[in-house]
Amino acid sequence: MDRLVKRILPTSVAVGTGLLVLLGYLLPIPLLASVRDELVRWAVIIAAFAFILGFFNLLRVHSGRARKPGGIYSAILILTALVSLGLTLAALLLPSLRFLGDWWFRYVLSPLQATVAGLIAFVLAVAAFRLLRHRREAGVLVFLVAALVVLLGTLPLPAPAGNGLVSLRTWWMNVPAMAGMRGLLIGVGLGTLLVGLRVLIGADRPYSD
Amino acid sequence: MIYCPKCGTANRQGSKFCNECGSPLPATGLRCPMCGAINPTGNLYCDRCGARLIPAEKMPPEEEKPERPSPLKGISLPSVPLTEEDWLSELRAESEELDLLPEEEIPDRLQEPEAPPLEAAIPEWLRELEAPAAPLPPEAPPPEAAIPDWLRELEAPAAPLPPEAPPLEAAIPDWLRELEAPAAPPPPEAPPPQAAIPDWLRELEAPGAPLPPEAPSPEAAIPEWLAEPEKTLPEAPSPAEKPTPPLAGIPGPPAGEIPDWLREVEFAALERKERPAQPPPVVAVDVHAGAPPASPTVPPILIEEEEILVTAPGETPDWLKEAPEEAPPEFGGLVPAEIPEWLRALQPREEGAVEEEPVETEGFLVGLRGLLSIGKGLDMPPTAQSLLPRAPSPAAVARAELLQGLLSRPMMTPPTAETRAAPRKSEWIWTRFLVGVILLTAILLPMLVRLPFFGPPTVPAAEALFATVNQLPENTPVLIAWEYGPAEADEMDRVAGPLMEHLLRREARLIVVSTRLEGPAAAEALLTSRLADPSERLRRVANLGYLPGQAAGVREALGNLDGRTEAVTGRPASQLEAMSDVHSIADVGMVVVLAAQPDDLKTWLEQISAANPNVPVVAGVSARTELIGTPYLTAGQLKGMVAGLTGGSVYERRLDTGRGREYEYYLTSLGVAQLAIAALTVIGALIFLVGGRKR
Repeated sequence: MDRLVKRILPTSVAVGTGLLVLLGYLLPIPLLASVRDELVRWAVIIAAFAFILGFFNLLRVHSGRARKPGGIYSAILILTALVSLGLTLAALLLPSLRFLGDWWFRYVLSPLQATVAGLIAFVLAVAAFRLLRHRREAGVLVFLVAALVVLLGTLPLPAPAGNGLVSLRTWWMNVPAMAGMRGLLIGVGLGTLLVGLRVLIGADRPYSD
Repeated sequence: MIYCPKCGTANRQGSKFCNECGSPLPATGLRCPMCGAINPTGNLYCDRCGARLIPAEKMPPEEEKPERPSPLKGISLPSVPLTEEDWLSELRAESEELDLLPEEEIPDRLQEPEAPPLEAAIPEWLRELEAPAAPLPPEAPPPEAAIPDWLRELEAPAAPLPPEAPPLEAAIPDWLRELEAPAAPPPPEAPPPQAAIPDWLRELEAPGAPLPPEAPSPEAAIPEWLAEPEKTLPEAPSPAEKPTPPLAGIPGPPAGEIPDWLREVEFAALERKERPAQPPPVVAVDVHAGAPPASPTVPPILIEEEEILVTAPGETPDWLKEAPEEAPPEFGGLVPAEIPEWLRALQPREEGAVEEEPVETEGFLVGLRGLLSIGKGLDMPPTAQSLLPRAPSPAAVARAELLQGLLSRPMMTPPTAETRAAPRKSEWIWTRFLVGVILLTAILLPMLVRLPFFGPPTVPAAEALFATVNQLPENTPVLIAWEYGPAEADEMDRVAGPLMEHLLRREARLIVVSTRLEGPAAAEALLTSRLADPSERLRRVANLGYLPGQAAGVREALGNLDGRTEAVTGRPASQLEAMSDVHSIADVGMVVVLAAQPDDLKTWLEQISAANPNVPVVAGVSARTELIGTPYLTAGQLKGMVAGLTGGSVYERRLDTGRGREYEYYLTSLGVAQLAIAALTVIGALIFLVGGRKR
């Protein structure tokens, strides 16, 4: 019974659902297309419900941490999450309070996130300065040269002045960088195909233990 | 009986101490004749090898005498370990009893000292083999007719057979007949004391002694009935052909070892599958073929069923044939004879000399004694042998040595907070300070000084995007995937702003969706800044909000755009003016993907191409997403792309929205920062290349 609930039933549902959705794409049958769309809709609903669960799980985890020493950041997280939730719900229930949500987004969330994102540039600059401090390998040198080429190639120079750099950058982006990126995309595509097939035949069961 | 070695008192079998003096008695364990293991008294079969220990049910002599008139009994190995004194004393007692018998009751051959009976010189079990000495009670002498003919022939070999008994003559086997003949001629002189042991037995003890010419070789001496007992056993001869059952089990191996014929008998016994849990029943076998089974005076011979070995007539073992010839002509004084080794091995040993059973040294039976040991070939199955530890591979040895070396190193004291912070603090301070100053300079310098070096470059993809948007008819619904939030808004707003304004200029209806939580809010903030009139915003923009489920959410939204709800007003999408005549991806004129992350761009491109590959798709991406968008652009899946601040400034200048000065500032700041970072990278590389690597 335990095996039926934990292994056989989830695998059967996953394989059956996946095959129906796949056949809905491959076969021009209206019934299959309808079934496919309905199953995809179910997936969206389940994902939304999982998101709500994740939100409450976040609150539960950090409420435990907030009671421990150094839990001030967890307390701030819980506070801001509840404020954001309250303002959003208030804007939905009372449109007159919508400005509160706009203000919160414009003057709290946006500056904070922009600040954190701006730190990335600072950290990357420091890392570039100390690049050869610990490692002196051929790969590091290649990476260093590539970074310099991209940095100099993306300089916003006007056409007459930057034609040479732009040409270098264009070549760099269209030949070596493009080759690497296409290889990555092909690999991702093959990996996605393989994972899909493994899930369809039940070899991979990420939905069960 | 066990006689006390100290006082000579006879003790009951199995006693450990003398009833008279209390001295310890010899061990009463039974040694297995096959494997030599000591078995407790009372065992019928060996605990180790399963060999039979006691050949027949041993009954007390007092009870045997009146109830066992039969002169013969099945031969087997001695069941009771007898000391020399035991069986010799019994022999003496029996000979005395024979002397007391009436003259007419004693067979002739027993009366003649020149023809000593075999039982007088051999132990009890051997005497029972021939069993001539079972004395009949004097008060009930057996009638003449009660003596079997074959025994009568033994007694009076010289007398001719009565002519009126030819059937009995035919029933006597040849081997018995041969027994009689040699006993007739008396020996010329009394044998020396050594002859107390019959010669036939002595010959068996000394295999090296030359055999008589008529004696076959040891191999030839093994009769067929011993060599193949299994074949002969099931096929019992008919009463007419059935000879007198021969004696089963042949004692008397050569000194110190078991003869081949006896070993074969044991092998044949071991090969029998079924080992009886109880002693085998004693069956009555009539040795007289054709005789009535229930003779009133001569009971049938008691022979163990297991030990019956039927032979064909004339296949009497040679040693039995020769026994009368080699027997001493007379039985003089009873002199203690030398006990053969094999017979001595059957005697009970002293208690202290009892050989200990091997102790189990491994496994879960460690410490137990007397366990059955399986053969070498069965000690371990082949699969287990393959799992035995083998020699470690060189790689394993190298790893072990490495681990040993690491463990043998002296423990390093972890750096304290003071020792660790000192170099790091100074290094980090000046490094971060330097980087921070350069970046701040890059941000502030364009505000203070106008640098003419930087400006919008030529970007073909942005030009293609501009041309694609320009071709849109008025009032065309455009689906916009708003895939960035406040963290990327500083860059992406410079990309999305000119593009949205261009679309608005083209009177396009904007349908906004996002798979990111902050996407709808970021879209609302930008669109509100571009559309100051709220009514115009409501008429031309439909913010359908967040799409949960990643790719599934995108796929579901592309097929069901009008089934959603407007995020700002909460109205159904189907009631919005911007959503008129728009139900799915098939009803939109273009798709714009504003993606700050590469994965978002990829997801949208995949789902759009699957849902409606004919709809034109353009993209406004961040600088770092440009690299992954380029393959789609060159493949034609993207009709145009604008990337980063540079691409946004190009589009802004192309569109001429009046925000040129703002974009010029951004471009100058970006250019200075990029040059500064490139310079820092080169300087840092030179410093650490020259200064050496640090750990």
